[in-house]
Amino acid sequence: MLEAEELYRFYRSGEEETRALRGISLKVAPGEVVAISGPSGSGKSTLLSCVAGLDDPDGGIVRIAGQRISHRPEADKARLRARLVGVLFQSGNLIEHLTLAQNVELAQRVGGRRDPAHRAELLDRLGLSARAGAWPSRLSGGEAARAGLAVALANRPSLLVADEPTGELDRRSEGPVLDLIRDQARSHTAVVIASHSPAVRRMADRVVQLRDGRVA
Amino acid sequence: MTEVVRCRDVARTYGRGVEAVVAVHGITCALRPGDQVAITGPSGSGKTTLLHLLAGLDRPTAGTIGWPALDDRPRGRIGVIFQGPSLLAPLDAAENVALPLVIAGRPDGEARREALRALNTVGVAALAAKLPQQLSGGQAQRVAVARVLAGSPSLIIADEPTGQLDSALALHVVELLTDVAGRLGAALVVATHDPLVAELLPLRWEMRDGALAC
Amino acid sequence: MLTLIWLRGLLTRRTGRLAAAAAGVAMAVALPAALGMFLASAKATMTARSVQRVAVDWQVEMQPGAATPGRLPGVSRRVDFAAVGGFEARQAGQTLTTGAGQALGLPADYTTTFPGELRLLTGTLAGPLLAQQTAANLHATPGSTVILHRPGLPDAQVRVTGIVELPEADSLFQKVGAPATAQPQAPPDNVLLLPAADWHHLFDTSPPDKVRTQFHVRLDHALPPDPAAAYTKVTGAARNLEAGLAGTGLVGDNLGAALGAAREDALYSQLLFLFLGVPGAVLAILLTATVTRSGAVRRSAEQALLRTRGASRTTFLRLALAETLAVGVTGALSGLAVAALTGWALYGSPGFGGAAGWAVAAAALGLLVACATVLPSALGSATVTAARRPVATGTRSPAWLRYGLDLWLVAAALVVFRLTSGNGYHLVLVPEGLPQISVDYWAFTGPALLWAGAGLLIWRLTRLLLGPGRPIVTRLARPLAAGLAGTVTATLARQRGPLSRTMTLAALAVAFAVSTAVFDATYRQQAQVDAELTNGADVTATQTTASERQLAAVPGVSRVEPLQHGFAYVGADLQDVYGIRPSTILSATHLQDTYFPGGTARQVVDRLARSPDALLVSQETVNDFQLHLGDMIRLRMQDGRTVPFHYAGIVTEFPTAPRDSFLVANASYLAASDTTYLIATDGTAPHLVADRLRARLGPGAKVSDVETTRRVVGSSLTAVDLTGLTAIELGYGLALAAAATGLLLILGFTERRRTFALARVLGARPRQLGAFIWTEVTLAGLGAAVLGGATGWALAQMLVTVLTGVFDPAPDHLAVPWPYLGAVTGLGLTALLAAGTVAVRAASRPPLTVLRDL
Ligand SMILES: Nc1ncnc2c1ncn2[C@@H]1O[C@H](COP(=O)(O)OP(=O)(O)OP(=O)(O)O)[C@@H](O)[C@H]1O
Ligand SMILES: Nc1ncnc2c1ncn2[C@@H]1O[C@H](COP(=O)(O)OP(=O)(O)OP(=O)(O)O)[C@@H](O)[C@H]1O
Ligand SMILES: [Mg+2]
Ligand SMILES: [Mg+2]
Repeated sequence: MLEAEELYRFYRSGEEETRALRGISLKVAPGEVVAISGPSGSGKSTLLSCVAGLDDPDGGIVRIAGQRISHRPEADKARLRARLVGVLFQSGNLIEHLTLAQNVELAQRVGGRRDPAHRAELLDRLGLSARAGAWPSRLSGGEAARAGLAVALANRPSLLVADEPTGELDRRSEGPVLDLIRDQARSHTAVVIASHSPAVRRMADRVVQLRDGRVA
Repeated sequence: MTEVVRCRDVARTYGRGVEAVVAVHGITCALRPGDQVAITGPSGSGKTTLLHLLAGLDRPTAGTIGWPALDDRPRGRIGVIFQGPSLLAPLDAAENVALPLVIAGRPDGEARREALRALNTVGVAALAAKLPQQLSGGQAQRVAVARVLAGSPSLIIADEPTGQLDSALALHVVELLTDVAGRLGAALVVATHDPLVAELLPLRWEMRDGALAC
Repeated sequence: MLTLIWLRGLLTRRTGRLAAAAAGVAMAVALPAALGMFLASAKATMTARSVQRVAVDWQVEMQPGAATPGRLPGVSRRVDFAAVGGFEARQAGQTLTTGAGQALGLPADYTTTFPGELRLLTGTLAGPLLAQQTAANLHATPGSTVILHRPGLPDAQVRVTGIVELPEADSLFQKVGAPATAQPQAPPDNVLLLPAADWHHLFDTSPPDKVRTQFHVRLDHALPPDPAAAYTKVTGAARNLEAGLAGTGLVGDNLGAALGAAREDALYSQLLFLFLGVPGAVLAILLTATVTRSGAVRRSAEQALLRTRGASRTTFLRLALAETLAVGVTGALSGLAVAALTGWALYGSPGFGGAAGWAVAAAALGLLVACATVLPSALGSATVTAARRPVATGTRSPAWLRYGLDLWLVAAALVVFRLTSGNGYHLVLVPEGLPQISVDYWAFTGPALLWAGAGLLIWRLTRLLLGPGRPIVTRLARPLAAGLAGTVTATLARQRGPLSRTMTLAALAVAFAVSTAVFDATYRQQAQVDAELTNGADVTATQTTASERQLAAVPGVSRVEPLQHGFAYVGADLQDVYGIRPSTILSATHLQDTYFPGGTARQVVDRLARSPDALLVSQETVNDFQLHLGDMIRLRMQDGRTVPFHYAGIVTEFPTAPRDSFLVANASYLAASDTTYLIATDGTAPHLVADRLRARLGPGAKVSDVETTRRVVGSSLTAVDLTGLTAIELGYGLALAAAATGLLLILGFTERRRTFALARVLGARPRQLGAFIWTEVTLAGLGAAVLGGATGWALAQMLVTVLTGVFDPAPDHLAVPWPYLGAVTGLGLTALLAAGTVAVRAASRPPLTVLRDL
């Protein structure tokens, strides 16, 4: 489902250069859950951005379902993402002037779908049904993180890219979230999760350990 | 010893009427200098709300809250680490860390030195000149921790300070917080969902449905 | 549906921001719409006024012996003319005679049909009427008997029943069909008006070459409001009629001539509209663009999220446009309402006064611009990650900055300015005999380039100030921000994109207000000078026997200056000659230095004082006779004397002098007979003093005052009534300045609420938050005042110079309207203070409400 070959990504600001990715390759099969772990600043978020086509690597190539997503016009990337990819950022996943439920609906409509049943199911499984009408700024940290996941999964993506989905969650809330992701994988979604959580690592089929922009 | 903060029967309700959400209620507690507390509880149980009340950033809708050791003037003497991003976007890491010091009236140069020292303690000295948008999640969180360390507060309030950190680093950061709090004789409150982190603190309060169950 | 959800969310959660943006759009729409209304109404007024001023629209002169024309348009009356050898009257045994004159036969209802043609002074209109000048010559009064010397017939007698004035004598006695270039014919000195029956009785048997017949026509006055269109219609109809008359008659098109002049005035007002109005409209549009852009960071982050979800370009374009349209439509409608109210305030009737097209165009343009501003970010090719960053870190400056486009533009402006302000340059050309007037639009390039160049230059300067100039800003911020100065400048520097846009716009708004106000004041000053030049002084009296002393005794008179007037031949050319008293002339009337090329007014007058036989002549005369200073000139006076003079300088304009060639000399040396008195008032309104003088001097004397003259001064730029335009301009100048400073700062502060809230969490006191806010406010205010003031001054200078050709006379110096500039400063300061205060108060709210509500 996902093929990333020899990804490089260097950030330059002035004289300084941060080598966030230094030749990372990653393959994820449909239905496979891969956990990316590594110390803070090791390049996990950068890798995820490149893999989801949100950022272009300075070197290397990313393919999703056989189609190249790196180095293409934004419009093409967006089209691919709409069909295939769900993204959960480390923070800032919700549009502030829309309620939680509207945020999920918006994601569906943007993807050209309308699936109220799926929407309700997602909110229910993530324990957000009671907060469906709340503005994003009125959610607790954990609620916002789960809402982000609901938005990412709204379109039944073939590839889920999630950055720290459980960073803000306690053990008990983490359980349903991981179950949901597992179920998603069972319906042939490839999953890439960046996480520190031991629970995520345990749930994953494979753990990729990053260090300084390389696979350790 | 005078308490740093004292709550009596405190409640906070968001919204009104049918939409009202009682985030916390019936909270009676006190913290003395040197107290170090971990607050745990499920997501949505009211941890953040309580911390905001303790930091004086929010007012209770019922009950009273006071800061006797701070002459009831909490502003500027409480260090807060927010859940989620809390750095000023137009300032670089060092300027962010130095800001509370500059606000307190310390000269620029001195504040900057202190800031660099604090950044060094949390292991991000190399990032001093970067803007928040150029930092990784964990790095930004550590800069926020450094900002509290540099400010020598009397009360440290940290809301999920380790959410974005791997366990080794998480433990290191919490140790730093307890160290600094101990050195300053400050009270420390950490909301966390990580049991290993909670282990590091001598006191543990559990929140459940907006109430303290200790 | 998607769009609806989106819009509803925005409207409930971002009401304030959207309202502010709509206010900006409203301003951008209201200004051009109001200007359009002014233009339309000014033109309509010009048409109406010229129609009103014309007593007889057409004088159709029939060829001798031609049959009565079949059908004439409108209302027509037959008027007969007969040449009279002279008039004679006997008064108390004395016989008074006059030279040749004309006797007219008028139908009984002529005076009611053409009320402007004659004015009854005494007596009744029922019988024969004598013109005022003739009555004065014959000492005739109503009841007097006058004898007519009829050519080829015996003398006849009529009893006069009234004395009339013929205000339109020039056109009444025009030579119909004379080429436009011909010298206008002077009207006859002596005129008798007879009832038609009497005329036929007296002149039907006259020789045919001594009588002629005209038909006077009053047209249907339903004309197009635009003078040019009205002109075309009227002159076309006249030609049509002539063709129909097939050579048996010619049309004297008085209405066409008046409309032709009005058409020129209309063109001038259109020019002014372009020169003064267009920058304002452009500024208003820039304001809209900046206001709509002020939410760019938020919008860009939202778009990034939408793109993450796979939104196609059309989707977020649709969402962005929906937001902009919501803002734009609200803004445009309010703008139109404001424009309609402006129209109401100025012209007393709500609505767009024939400028509905303008209003719609303005609204459409406002909308278009608002939409265009959100397009770049929607169509941009930044990656999602890049779009999520709140602070722009790109250090590359825009291409135009790197290539110095601003400097090129300013340089080009100066070059064009040089070319278009030289001697002999004409902004408006009225080619002889052609129906079209042409304007040299090339002249606009100077100011236009200067506007563009100055705007970009200001932008460059503010960017420099916030970039490499940071230490300077820090030092400036010290007094306000104390210890926080470094931090404050750091935040300002990182936001320098939006901040420099705000500063530039504020500066341009100030420049607009300053340049318009200075131009307007100069314009009004010149209108005054023009009137004074035509009238001579505050009040002028001629044809009086009263002495200087008697005039000076009239209350309200502060000085009286005699000015002699006569005629003299320079070669074959008869020119007016004026005799002045050099010792006192400067104190009674205002002589501008520009009247005397090659010296100041004082120097030239001193030259006259030193040598009694000095003579000032026109440039034309100098050229014709190849004169050098000190050359002797012999003038043959009207009374036959030949007097030697010495050429002592050039004069281009002089109070009461005609526009073409004339001469100025010392009164004592000239010894001419006619004396005009130039009278300065002591501050009493000139028309009051004029009334007193008229009462004192009797009906024989001619007294005119500068106020009345100002209203009737002929066709020139200064004759265009600018009041409406300037009221709109100055009003909107104020509003723009206030909006550009206040509104944009407030919007900027709103974007930064989060920063302020976080600073507050970190312990910042309101005073310290104030440091952030007031530093920015001061910077914007200072920048606007200094850069805007300088630009405005330069522009005013350029405008006045470029338009010098149409100022008549050219101004000595710019007039500075201090009260208005004071008002701009005051309002600007108020807006800045208000923005700062609002921002400080908002920033002092409990920070959590902000952080949680962001
Ligand atoms: N501004 C608000 N308006 C309405 N409800 C709110 C608001 N802020 C928080 N809540 C609700 O109050 C409850 C407590 O929120 P709080 O943020 O204190 O939880 P928390 O314990 O910090 O959770 P987490 O671990 O997920 O961060 C939640 O259900 C939340 O949805
Ligand atoms: N826009 C940027 N400009 C410059 N450097 C950047 C930028 N974004 C990230 N970096 C740097 O790249 C490196 C990798 O960042 P990344 O966000 O991928 O780390 P991460 O593994 O996700 O860390 P964390 O667990 O803390 O979120 C870090 O050192 C970070 O400082
Ligand atoms: Mg990360
Ligand atoms: Mg929380």
